[in-house]
Amino acid sequence: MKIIIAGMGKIGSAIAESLVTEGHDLVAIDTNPEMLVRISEELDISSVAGSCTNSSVLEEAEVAESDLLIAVTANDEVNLLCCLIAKKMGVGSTICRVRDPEYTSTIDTIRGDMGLSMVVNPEREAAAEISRIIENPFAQNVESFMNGRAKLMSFEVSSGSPLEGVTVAQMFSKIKAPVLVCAVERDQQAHIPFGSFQFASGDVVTVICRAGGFVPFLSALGLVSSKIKDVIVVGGGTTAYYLADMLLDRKTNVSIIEKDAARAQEMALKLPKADVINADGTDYNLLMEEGIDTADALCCLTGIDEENVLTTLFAKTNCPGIKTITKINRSDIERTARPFDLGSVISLRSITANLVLQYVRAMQNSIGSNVITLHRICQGKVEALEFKVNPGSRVTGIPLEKLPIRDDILIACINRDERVFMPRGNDTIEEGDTVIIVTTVSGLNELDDIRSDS
Amino acid sequence: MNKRMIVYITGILMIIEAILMLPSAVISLMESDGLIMGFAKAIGLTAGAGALCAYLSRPKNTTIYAREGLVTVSVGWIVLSLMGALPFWFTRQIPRYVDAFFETASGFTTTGASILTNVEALSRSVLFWRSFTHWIGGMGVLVFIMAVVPLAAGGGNIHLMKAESPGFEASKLVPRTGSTAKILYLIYLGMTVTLVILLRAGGMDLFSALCLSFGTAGTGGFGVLNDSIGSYSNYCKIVITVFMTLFGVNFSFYYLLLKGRVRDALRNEEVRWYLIIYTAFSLIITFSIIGRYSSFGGALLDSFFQVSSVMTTTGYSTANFDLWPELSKSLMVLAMCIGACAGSTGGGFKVSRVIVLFKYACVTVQDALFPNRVHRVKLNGRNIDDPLLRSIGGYFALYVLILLLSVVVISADGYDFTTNVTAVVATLNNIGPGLNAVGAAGNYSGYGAFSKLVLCFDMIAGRLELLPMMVLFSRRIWK
Repeated sequence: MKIIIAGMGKIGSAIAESLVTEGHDLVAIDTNPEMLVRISEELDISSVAGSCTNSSVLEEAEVAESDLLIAVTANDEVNLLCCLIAKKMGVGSTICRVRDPEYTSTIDTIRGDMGLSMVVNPEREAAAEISRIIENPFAQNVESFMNGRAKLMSFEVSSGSPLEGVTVAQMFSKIKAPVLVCAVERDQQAHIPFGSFQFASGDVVTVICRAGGFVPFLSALGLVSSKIKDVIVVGGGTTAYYLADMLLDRKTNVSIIEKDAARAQEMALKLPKADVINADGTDYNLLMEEGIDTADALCCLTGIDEENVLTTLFAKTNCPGIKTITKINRSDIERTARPFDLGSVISLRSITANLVLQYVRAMQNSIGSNVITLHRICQGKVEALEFKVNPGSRVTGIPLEKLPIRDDILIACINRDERVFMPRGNDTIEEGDTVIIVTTVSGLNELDDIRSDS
Repeated sequence: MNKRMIVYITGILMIIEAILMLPSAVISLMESDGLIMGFAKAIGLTAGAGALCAYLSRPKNTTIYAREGLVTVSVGWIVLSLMGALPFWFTRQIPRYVDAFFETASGFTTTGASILTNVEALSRSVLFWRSFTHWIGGMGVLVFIMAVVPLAAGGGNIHLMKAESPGFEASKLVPRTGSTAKILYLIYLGMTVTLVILLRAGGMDLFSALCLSFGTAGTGGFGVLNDSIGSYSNYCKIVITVFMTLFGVNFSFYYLLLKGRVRDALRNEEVRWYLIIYTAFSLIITFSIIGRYSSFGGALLDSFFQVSSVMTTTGYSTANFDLWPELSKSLMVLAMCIGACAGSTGGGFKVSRVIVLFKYACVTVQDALFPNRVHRVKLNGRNIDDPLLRSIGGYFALYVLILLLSVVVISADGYDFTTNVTAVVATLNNIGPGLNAVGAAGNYSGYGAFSKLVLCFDMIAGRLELLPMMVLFSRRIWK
């Protein structure tokens, strides 16, 4: 597809990177020509320097012939205006980033009038993700499939865990919980494990199971989740606001530490139930004073990645057992910090890129692909995709043990008539099912592509 | 520096070159000229060396940056010329290797300067290879490979394309480098086929039509007869004149035309100036040479043909312009230096650079007159920013420097000043014929081996727009 991206900031370039590997033709628009040249050379895409609300700039980007425009500049109003103009000039669909909480309540009412196909709010998505993680404190990432009927969860095998030294085949008899191991990340390598694969401590294991299947599974592993009651949030940005709003709804105590006095006042006004502390959250004495040693979870959400990492490390060393969530936006910092035990890491970049990618794949749906949901796991090295099985598919009606399936593919879950099950060798895929596939191949568009002879 | 990747791409380049030699070998078989063993050896050696390079340095990391792009292109083109000389040498049609190398470098760089005194004595298979090198070199070999397979990871390809394609604004027609390369080659192929058909329609035999089309499309200039184009019909001369001019136009112009964006295409300032300079020079020369012709038409045809030939840096000739009046000769040398449009198959300094430098000169005068007023240089309605101005100024400095140094070095062979200067001008700008001893009726065989190598360097440097060859002199590249 022909896609225009307006705004080549961190999020814009992350979206561009994932779309270009999917084989789309991209045109980038930004007001900073030097950066634009660098990025467009790095990614092999076209670029137009100028303002994305200028119709002649959009015309030069061939907006009328494009299928999609993604407006992700730093400014909500510019994004909305850009989408409106592009729509008038004849672009197929528009995706708009709107992150100001002031707009989020009203955006749904004007969405139709503006002709927006999708509104992304990276900060709110990140907050929702963090809130999910807090709900399942031992799980690193929890994703939903099949309208929430199936869940994907990652956890780390700690030393002394009952899983240590156990093979995938033995796991089922040892822990009587219906889960399926999808992927294991070991030494930064992603594996799709088979029966003989042996777990070791330090592995990050991703499993899939029916909704509600986690609790028995986690308790069988000795990971009994105690309820999270007190959360400390460092940094009072937009993400922190959305997160506090969600947590307070669940009757969790939230303390927000914000350095800027005016911003702290604003937060206190908007979130009357939260404790807003106007102080430097990277001051360790202050953190101790605010009771970090008795808190259940710490979320480092300041705008500076390095501060977030260091604050998390401080908490990890001084308060054993605390759940930490660290926001890291730059992918190079994330890579460098990976050897450290940071707990869960959240990146607005990859969350947004995933969302947009999901939408773009769904758009292609009408042209022949059938991806309903897509999640990336193991730092993006493994993809879990939900497919709809269409009439005429070449994988239906054949027992899975007889179906020639590629080595790098795992059929994780089948959803038939509102019932979710993990398939065995004699099960078949039928028309009308939805199927979850786990794979190390990127850009799978067709369910038929899982056949080794396709 | 990702050296493995450089060697790997060079290896692929040699394999492709061996494949491109096959048509000439087929002609050799069809003609049974007894040269097939020479071709077989050349193809075998090139393919073998290429496969060895590509195999031994299979890269794990295919990321390349601007630096690797520049070195790959210059090393690639030198190797291309070294290997391309083998068919001439192994078939003993050109007995000295340095001469064969000169002829090949001249072919690939679409110069068309020759060391041969009697072209007609060459066998047709070798003549075909000689002309075919023009066609390959015209659009570039790496661009060709990129149209088929992506060589480097992600954005690496654009560095290769930038280093190989002429012009300071390496603009992609479509978002992907590979697709851009494909579109460029399709336009190139389409125009070449049209030319072959038109020449055939004029009664030319297929072999000559192919060879001359290769020479015209690549703006090279190797012919198949000793008097170049002089003895063909007026129809053929007119067709070649028109097509030489067309191949000197920026290819993005044709892309816009094909997409129906005629108004955008016509807005191109470079194409406009290119045609204005071309017409003005041709008319002035027509009037200055008219006394030597019996009819106005004859003078008009010869002058339009010759100006097109040197301005697009092709180098075909219908008349020996060495015998023309001084004014005409000066204009011809000036046209040589201006050259064709950026993004065409032609060489030279490029019309767009001349326009920018000219405007810059005007701005300098304005600045002196009105020191507080803001003056900007614009091209196609766009502001030319200072880094770009600086790079064009630097390019001009390099150009002059290489020109002067080369003239001094080759003067050692004892030719007169005009011969030496025009020899360097004609090779650095990829034209072919110069004046006096290297004029339309002469050739480069008289120069010594070292001078020939210097001229080879000039040709490759000129074709790649100087920078890729100049970086080879940086000590840090070799570390």
